[in-house]
Amino acid sequence: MESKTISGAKILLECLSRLGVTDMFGYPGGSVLKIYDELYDFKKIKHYLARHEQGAIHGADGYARSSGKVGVCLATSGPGVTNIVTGIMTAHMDSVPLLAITGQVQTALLGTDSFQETDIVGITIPITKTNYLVTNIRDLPRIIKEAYYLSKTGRPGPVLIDIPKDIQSTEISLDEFEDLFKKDFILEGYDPIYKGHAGQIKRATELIKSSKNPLIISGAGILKSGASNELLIFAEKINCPVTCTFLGLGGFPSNHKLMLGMLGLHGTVPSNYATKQADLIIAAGIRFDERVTGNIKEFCPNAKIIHIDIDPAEIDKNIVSNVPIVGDLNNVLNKLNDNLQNLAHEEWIDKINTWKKEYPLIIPENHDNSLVPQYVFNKLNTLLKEDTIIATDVGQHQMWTAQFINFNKPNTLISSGGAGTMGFGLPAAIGAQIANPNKNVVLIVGDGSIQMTIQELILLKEYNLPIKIIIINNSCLGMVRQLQEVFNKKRYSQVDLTYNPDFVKIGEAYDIKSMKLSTKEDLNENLENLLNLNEPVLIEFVVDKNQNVLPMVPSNYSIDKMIGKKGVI
Amino acid sequence: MTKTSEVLIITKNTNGIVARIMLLFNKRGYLVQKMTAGATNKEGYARLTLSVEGDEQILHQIQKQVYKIIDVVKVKIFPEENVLRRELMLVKVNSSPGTRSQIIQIADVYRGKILDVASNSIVIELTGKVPKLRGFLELMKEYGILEVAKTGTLAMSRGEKI
Repeated sequence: MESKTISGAKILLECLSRLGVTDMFGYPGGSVLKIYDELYDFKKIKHYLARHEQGAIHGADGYARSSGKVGVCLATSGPGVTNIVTGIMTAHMDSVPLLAITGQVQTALLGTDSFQETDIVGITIPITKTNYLVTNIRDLPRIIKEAYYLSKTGRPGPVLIDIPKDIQSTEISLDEFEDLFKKDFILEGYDPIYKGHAGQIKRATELIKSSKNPLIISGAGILKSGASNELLIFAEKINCPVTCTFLGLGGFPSNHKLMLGMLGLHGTVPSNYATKQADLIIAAGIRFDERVTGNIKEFCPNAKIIHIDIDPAEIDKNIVSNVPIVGDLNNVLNKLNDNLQNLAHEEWIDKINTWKKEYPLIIPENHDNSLVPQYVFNKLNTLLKEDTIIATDVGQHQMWTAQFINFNKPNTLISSGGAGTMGFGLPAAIGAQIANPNKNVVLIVGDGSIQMTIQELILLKEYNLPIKIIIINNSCLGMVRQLQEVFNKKRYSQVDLTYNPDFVKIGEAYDIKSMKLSTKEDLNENLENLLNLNEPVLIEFVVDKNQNVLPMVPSNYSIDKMIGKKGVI
Repeated sequence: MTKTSEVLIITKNTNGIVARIMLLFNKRGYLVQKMTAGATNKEGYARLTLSVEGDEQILHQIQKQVYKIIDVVKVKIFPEENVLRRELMLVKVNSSPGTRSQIIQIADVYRGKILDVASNSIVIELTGKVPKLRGFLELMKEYGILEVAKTGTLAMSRGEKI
């Protein structure tokens, strides 16, 4: 007999599916039992079973970052949800559209400290765009629609929906559900501005026309609004050099002649010098984070600033701009392109090109056959195909990736920028491969960070994900070691990882083809073949632990006061 | 220049909305000196008035950050001029048969209401601007203040607009 009612759990899945969700990441438990029961024969959404909730949330994050779709994560109450808190914060810092669906104890037990109860709505208020505790099944369809819409519109971000057990199992009639689903939601206080203010765009146009030394700083906002193409037209039209924030990499082709590379703490010398000497900064989708600005009082002292962002609260938050434009970058850049004629800044570009020549990225020479990490990165760059998605973890390998790998296509770098979450890389790569089954996905990770979520390796086998894992093993927590070397007089405190597991054996235990490469010879003989295999591969590079990410700007220094510009401190 | 200003927040009266707002102030390091919250004439909405400390830039940031809370429908920083500001205060002071009439006289001058007279104490209700309440408390010190309860500043623009 056909069922004429529908449960809260089924409403959840049905609504998500109707909104376009096809995949979700999660981990079952007592408070989401009913949802998993409905999933058992719900064929429109494929569920990926992580091995720790942190893996599930970062998986959904990598999925979202690499595809622009909303990532969905499911976790049970109590420890299940607290395990996804780091991942929610990570997505929040980098404005990633996520839906975190969490189970909660039944409504009658709320507030009684019952088994696996925690106030996840309270915990996640500061790290979500918004969050909901569902207390009436009739609110559920609206909340899901609202949450999904909020997560991906305006400045995207994570939204959490906490659903008590009894709401999941309550049934309402199908007719009533259909009526509820059809109803529009009203968000009175939420109305993102997409169109830039015409007057402000005109003012920006005038500033651009009168500038001699303009510089575009391109941020993650370019990628989120899908504005890479407009940016390329814009930069070429006004012949303006471009530097990218870390998360902005891929928004403008790394191999373009106007590109200066990344700016900031570990930015290139030309980027940081240009920022300091520019008379106009066109800040496109950036939030002037301190990793970008260095000492903010000395940041671009000679420049007027045009700040374009979709979030009004970013305007004048860290830096006061001359011409703020609130709007979607695609839209605003398009209008600017309409307004502007071709411009030339040859003198300025010549000056920048002399910096480029004088300060290239340096691969330290070594006279034996051993590997320095920079050599490995440089090789990787020559071997990786242009639209390869590269996920990283956090640390030295992450910054070397930003420095040495060319990102010529949008959304090809998947990394935790604002949060700097170790353990992000592997699950995020998994999410990226699931969202992009036809693309090459490479994970670059350190020997420290891979161990934080290493249990997720089994998903490569289970779901047949041909991810190439590159472990840069320098037997230490390199970034912290570097800080201790430079700022703590080489007092290396708790950063030594001489006692590492055998990564090749670990890979093999997870039934993944694994290989250790310790010499240039090893690398040149094997790397290309390994990268071209159509199966998951784990490659461990044994590298020199004494290498530092250079140049670097010491904390609170002006960003042109870099140390290690020539590759040595 | 740092000064104290009143921020008006009109929000849907959802569960935990005050917590959301206060967490935001906490997270961003904005200083809240006083707060009043209550229902408004529109059903389902709440009106909060916060007295905060900060310069122009911080006030603008507060306005924009608070507006990012999805349930918040309006945020306004009250200008200095053309705004009515009032605070309500209950004060309990020591009194004896000898001082009682003096206290009542002073309260009268301040247009206070006597709410309770006991053998050793007296409770006065006073409404007004902040300096007036402060002035009254100064005078009461001499008799011995036992307890003070204040509402925080309520503010409303003159004229028809919010």
